[in-house]
Amino acid sequence: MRGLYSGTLSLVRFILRRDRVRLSAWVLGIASFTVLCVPLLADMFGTQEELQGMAVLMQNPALTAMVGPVYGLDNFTVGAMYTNSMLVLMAMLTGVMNIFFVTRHTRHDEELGRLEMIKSLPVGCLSNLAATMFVAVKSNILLALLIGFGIAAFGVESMGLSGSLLFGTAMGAAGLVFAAATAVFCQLCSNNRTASGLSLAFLLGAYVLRAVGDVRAETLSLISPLGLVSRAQVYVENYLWPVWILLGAFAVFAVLAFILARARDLGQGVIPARPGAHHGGRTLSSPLGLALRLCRSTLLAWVAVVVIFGVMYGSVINEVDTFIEGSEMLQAMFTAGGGDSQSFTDQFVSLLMMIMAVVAAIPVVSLMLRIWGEEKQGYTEQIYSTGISRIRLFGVYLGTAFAASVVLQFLSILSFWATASITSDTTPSFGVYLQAAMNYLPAMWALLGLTAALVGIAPSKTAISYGYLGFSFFAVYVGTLADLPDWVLGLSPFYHIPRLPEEEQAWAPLAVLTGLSALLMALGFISYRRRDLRSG
Amino acid sequence: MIIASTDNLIKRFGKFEALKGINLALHEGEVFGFIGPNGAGKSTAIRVLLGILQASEGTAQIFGKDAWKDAVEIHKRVAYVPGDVSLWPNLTGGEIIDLFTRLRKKSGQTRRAQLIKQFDLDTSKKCRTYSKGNRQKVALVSAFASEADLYILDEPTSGLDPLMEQVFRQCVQEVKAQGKTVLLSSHILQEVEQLCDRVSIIRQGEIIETGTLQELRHLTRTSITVQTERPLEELGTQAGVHDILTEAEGTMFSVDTKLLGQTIEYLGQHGIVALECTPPTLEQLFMRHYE
Repeated sequence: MRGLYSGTLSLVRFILRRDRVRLSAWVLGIASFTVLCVPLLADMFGTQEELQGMAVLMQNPALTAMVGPVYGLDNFTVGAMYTNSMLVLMAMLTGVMNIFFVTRHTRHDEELGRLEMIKSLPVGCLSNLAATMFVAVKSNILLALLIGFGIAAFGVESMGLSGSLLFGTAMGAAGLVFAAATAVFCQLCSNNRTASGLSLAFLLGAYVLRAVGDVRAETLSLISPLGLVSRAQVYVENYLWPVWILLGAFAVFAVLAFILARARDLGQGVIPARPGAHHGGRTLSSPLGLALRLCRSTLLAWVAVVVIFGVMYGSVINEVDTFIEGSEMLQAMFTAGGGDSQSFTDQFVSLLMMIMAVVAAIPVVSLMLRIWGEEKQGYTEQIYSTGISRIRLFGVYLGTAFAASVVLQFLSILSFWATASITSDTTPSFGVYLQAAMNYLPAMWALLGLTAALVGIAPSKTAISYGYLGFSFFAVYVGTLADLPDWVLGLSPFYHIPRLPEEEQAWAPLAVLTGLSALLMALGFISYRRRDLRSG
Repeated sequence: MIIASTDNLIKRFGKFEALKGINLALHEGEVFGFIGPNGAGKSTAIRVLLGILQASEGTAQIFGKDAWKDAVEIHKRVAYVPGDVSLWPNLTGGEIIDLFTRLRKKSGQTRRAQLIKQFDLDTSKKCRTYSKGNRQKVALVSAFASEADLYILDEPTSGLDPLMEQVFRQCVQEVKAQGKTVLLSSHILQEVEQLCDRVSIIRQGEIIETGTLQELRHLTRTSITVQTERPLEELGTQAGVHDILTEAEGTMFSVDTKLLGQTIEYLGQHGIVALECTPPTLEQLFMRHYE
């Protein structure tokens, strides 16, 4: 039995050596972001009255669907508010870190043939999986400690050490559930893309499950790792039981992964790969056909994601109306402020649309980056040697990404509007919503332009695109909660978009962003044509 | 007619000079061998010729057109097999062959079927499951199924078994018979010896020898095993004679090929009983440059 795991510790050291930069960046990045949001939020509220006012607002079902339920309403604290706005999102991010980490060291290495070399050494059959899980556990523990002590170091009254450690532990425990679930998917599928895709779908499923659960049916939240983290009621009751459930789920998934890994052959999945076609279909006769074929499953997955987001957010609009009608205090607030309850709903609709646009921007960036991925893998030189021009190849990927931005925005708003108008009576016309969604296109194009320019000028730095997208998301997210300076928010293209229906339509920023993105795209075209292709 | 040529071609990667002024010229209808150890610059030179990399200095031309600027025009008449074939893991071999031949436009379905049969390739498998040899076959089938005027093959047989290597050689001979030009970069010197009309040897980014195999042989030594009636006492003092070894079955030595005539004359004076004269193999030729 021991033979199965021999050499595990050497492999642990090897993984740490290989991943010292990437894993440290993830752990430190997540930890510092989580910790640095504490002073931002803590300084916003002076009096208990202001806090209680915030507590009422945060019960809004749209926000609940987005970030989870609010606890400790009777005596609301900064800590309770912080947990509500941060925990679910940070647990998700930890999940993403774990998913990428586990696939990278198991299925990805196996697919590239690296694992075969490792396995030819005197190491056990399960050593690599064991080493990967070991490092995952260590990283999540480190993350939990960094966050726990980091938050406590600010000495905010309602955020003591034990609560802060629970906050970190909840994140880490949720991360481990995703790590172990990913390990299972990596045994089931024989290729890395499918395994990563299923793992990310599992994460998204957990998010949607808890969104529905938090608004309507509590039980659903209890079977979602991301719903469970909220149930710890950090800084309110500090319950430990959700953490135990998460760790139990981790153990179950991990054991399952080890059993499956023991039972299968190297290079194979538990689900066998089916044989494919002897001949290429008719679409497979042009660079566009190839690009669409290669991106097919990614595109379909993202269509599903935006439609699910649209339906999920669309269905809470009715709840927002009911919520306002039921709260005298809010009604009074709106009357005093000279607005009405419709404007309150509009404000949330605008926020949800912005979030949906940022989410839809992810596939747009990734489709453009695909051309660089293909080049790195050594596929492009073969395409290129058949007499396809660089301009055409670049145009294919840029065009696909561009078309995807329009289609995804359209589908997302269609599903949002359709769900909202079925469930609520006060929904504005489709035209208003459509314009609101289309307004975000120039911001998405700016990101696409940046990516295109990077692919042309500095392809090895294309990670900047995702970094910028991540920043844009947090500028949107944190910007709604805390007062960030305008120049910081203004760095995100999404900030400049007129937020319909809350704000008036403004064409100037849209024109400027569109012009800017056209410029960046042209830059991409020119420099891509001029540079050496990287091969193999 | 010159099909492809480079003139004083220099390629730098940062400070590293990968190609230090290379001159090549491929004539129409010939099979041109390009040999050299790993890292000598074979693939870099080929990639500059394909317009994948831009020359730092000097020129590279194919069909009289600039390899960088007119790449698209050139590629319509070129078939390329890379040294390390990467294929999309989620497509099948058959799909990729169809994709490549369709992109190159000129190709025939009968040729495709024939080649797949010859190379014994299962086209329904996803490429992630292919071994190196099978990936190589996919690239070879799609190259030879296309009708090109120039075939650029970068170590095309690495990973192929001897049977498939034989099929590959037939393919090269077929296209040569049709008057097509082939640039074959290879490690397998026996293959080059059998297929190539002319050869260039590259070392550390420089071409150190170019010519027909015969011309190259002239520059090197011939191995001789001889038995004579009278002992060859002054053999060591003869011009161009090296590495003398005397054993029971006779005397073995090597001689500069250009001085072969006068050496044989000297041997004749001692009454030859048996004489074995082996021209240098390409391998010996090759090794001589790297000792």
